[in-house]
Amino acid sequence: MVDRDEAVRALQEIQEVRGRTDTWNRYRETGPYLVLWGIVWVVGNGISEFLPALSGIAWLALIGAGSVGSIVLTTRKQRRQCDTLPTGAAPYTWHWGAAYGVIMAYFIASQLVLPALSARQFSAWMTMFWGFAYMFAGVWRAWRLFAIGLATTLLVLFGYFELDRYYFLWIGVVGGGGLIAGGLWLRRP
Amino acid sequence: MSTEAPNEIIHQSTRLKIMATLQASRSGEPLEFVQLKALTGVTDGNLGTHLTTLEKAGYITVEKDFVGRKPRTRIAITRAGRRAFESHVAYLRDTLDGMHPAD
Repeated sequence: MVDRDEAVRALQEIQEVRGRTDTWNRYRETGPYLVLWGIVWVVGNGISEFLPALSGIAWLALIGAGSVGSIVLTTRKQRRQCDTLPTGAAPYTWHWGAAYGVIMAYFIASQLVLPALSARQFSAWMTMFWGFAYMFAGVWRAWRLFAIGLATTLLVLFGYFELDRYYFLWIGVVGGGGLIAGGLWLRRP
Repeated sequence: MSTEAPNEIIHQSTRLKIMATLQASRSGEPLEFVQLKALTGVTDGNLGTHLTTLEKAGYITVEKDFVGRKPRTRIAITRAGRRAFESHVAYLRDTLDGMHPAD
């Protein structure tokens, strides 16, 4: 028989372990997206740096590829979750797709309102958006996400104000490379 | 869902942590030994011993393979394990509510 104090201790232990595991779940699920978009960022900014004439079409193609990749990652994740969710729980079926649509709509709406940005400004703005998004997400018990977002944002600001040459390469390396390194870091418990 | 008696296999502190971690891992992939060790804060030897007990009870599966030349051990909770854990948690909650007065 288990007495009341023992039951309290056991439930507290479960709660602590669940908290740690939930945080790690968030890290583990976010990691592949960071790596994917990191590759998009590195390639896109590399093209902007060395083949500026192709930059516009290349970015459209890369964002399209990143979007398809994100949908594939989300679909695969949801399929796995269907077999393993606790009794009574449901996967976040359509929520990720809807969230992605909201973000895309925000970028499109912003372009309608903002004055025409130079490629340099656009690149910094876009990269910082994701930097701040990671910081925002990291506020809730996910300090690694916060650290990745903060480091990326500071490095983008440094490049924007201090670098004249190789600016896009810098954004590609610190923004994209940071996302890739961050994605791999998040997979570690 | 709740049972009249605690699940003695799951109730042991280390095994409770292992089961709680595996149950909370929602990605659907089994956890690697080193990941489970880090999340539960249990030592290698201790973890191995308790995994054997849980595996014998049919609550978890333990798969060993190689990634290149590196050995890898992966652990996953079974449906029976998930049900047993949920049932034990329900028992603990009932105890808090005074439904299982201690002898």
